[in-house]
Amino acid sequence: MVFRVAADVEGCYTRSVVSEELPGYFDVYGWRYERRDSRVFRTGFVGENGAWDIWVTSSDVLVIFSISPYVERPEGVSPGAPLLRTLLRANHELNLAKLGIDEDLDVCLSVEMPAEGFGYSQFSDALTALAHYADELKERFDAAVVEDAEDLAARQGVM
Amino acid sequence: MSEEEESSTAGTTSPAEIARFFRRYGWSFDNIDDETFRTSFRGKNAAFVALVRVTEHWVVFTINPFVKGPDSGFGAVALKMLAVANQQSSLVKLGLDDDGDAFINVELPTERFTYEHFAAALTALTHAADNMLVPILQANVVDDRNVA
Repeated sequence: MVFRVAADVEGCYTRSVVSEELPGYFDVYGWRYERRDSRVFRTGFVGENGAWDIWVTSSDVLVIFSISPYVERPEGVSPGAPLLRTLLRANHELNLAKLGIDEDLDVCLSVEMPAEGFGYSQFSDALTALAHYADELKERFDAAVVEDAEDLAARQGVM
Repeated sequence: MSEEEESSTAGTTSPAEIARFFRRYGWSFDNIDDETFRTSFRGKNAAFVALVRVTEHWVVFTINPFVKGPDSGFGAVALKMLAVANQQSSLVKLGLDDDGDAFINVELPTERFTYEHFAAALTALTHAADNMLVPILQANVVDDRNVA
């Protein structure tokens, strides 16, 4: 698990009190959490299609909600075109959330919110979106992983 | 009550407020319709057209197409570059639309939307577009060579 550190955005605002507000937001939302660091929280949920850990990290600039990894890279295999296409097409459908490939070449699902103006409404929107999409996209990504493996096998067979 | 007071009372932004934010940012714009603005900028390597759309829940900043998809679709190198960029770029999302073209966007909630959000979104969008264009075009060339 590699925590993303929100990069400073030129001309951006800063706000450092969000992490102290997050425990109260978790309580109102009704989800248990574990505080792993002053600015790192872990929670999780069980959906219809799986169970996921959600990491919430806050910086002076951003609050990031992430499921990382959302789809783990198979041992010794880089993500292939079928999986990458699935990821990038899904990004066109998602509101608020996005999918990406992290440094370990795993698929991550995340929501980034500006720390400025961040309140319970944004917290609730972010967690709800993340949980909804994690569950909704699971079967599509399972199929993409299979297609990736078949595609790789076919290419290795040709070589 | 002024438009600005009305907007902040409601807690959500409005197209009128977005127009004020554009003027404060110093960028010209056209109205495509009541909820959609078009602006443009020139980066290091190209000029881009960006749309800003205000919906009930979201303010969406988009450059689409960012890079037109090749007839055969993007290859593995370009796809990986786009996917990795999502994890490296704060606020910005990259993906493929229904035509197979690459897009960049920033989506933020209309609730509590401020000028600081507007400026950060436009800055993130323009930096990502400017920084990603050449690497993606280069990736397309590599993909072409891999197929040939």
